Amino acid sequence: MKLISRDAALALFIATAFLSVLLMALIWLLTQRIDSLNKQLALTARRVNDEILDDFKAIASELSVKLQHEAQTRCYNCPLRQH
Amino acid sequence: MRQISGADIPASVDRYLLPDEHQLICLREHPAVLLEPITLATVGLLVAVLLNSVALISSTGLYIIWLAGGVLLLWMVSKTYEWFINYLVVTSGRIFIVTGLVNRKLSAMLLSDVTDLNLRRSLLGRLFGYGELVMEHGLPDQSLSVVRFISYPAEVYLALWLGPDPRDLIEELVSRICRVVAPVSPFKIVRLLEQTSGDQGRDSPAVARELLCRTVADRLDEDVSLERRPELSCYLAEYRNDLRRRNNTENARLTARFLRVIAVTSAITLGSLLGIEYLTQ
Repeated sequence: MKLISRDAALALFIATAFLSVLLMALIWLLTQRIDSLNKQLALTARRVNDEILDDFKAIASELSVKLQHEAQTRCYNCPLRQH
Repeated sequence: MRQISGADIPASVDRYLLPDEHQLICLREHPAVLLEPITLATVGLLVAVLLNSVALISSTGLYIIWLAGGVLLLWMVSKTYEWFINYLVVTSGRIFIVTGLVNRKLSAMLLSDVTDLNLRRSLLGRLFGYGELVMEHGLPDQSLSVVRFISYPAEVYLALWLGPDPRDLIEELVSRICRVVAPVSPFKIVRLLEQTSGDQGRDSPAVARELLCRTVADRLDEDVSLERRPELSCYLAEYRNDLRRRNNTENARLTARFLRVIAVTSAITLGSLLGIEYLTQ
């Protein structure tokens, strides 16, 4: 009993082998593309980081000044200082 | 979460822990890692049984087919045992993986070297409950950049950026910040907050991280559309775009890999059948 003829099997074999090679080439190309996108992404991520860090620092600095001011006011109004 | 503590720590992991190291997580890879060897071995054996029953090829051919099936079965058993003895360990200071059946290999990374950490979950991952951790770092030759088949991925990710204490307050605040500056990861936000609060306090009162986190979250909530931060909004849009392009390309590569496996397997099967038929004629 034969499932498929030898010629059909040979044709299928050639087609799958050709497809495998094509897919390998496509994977290689996509890997190169991903590497280049990763480099680009690293640059963009760096810019986002720097921007967020600057924003956080500005908020922290403002908060720090506010805390300092509050501490001074509290100390100025404390009973020990009034005497 | 599968958390092994105290006496339950396997000896193969315990020997790599430093005396003062606090272990947070110790778990095996997700069993989905065994899908490929189990499927291949089952298909191989089924093909052997099928060919045996339909008497398509000669006895020499059948012998070769059964031999190939046996090799696939042995490969599946070795992979299963490997899965059983491999561990992913997260401690307070580092993350490491112990792998290998004959040669044991330890791949480790200090958490302080990790600059960003992202959790990726594919469709299959969401279906079976696993994910992969993508670590970004400035180190040139680190083998541990992507950790695949993580069980309980959300819990592991949380433990990595929150550390040993269940600080729900920080988690909630960081999530609020992340909603505005998406797709920046919570890990990155915590790192930047630590960096900011660490830089403070030289000539002014130090701002506690929790207080800073709350203030930042409140400020960003007032400016959800980032109208007052046009540059950040622009950079974030660019970042989102790049990320989407990278993820689309990554998905295309995954699909191509899947198709390649099918094509190569078909080519090998057809080639073997043709070869066997030619030899046995």
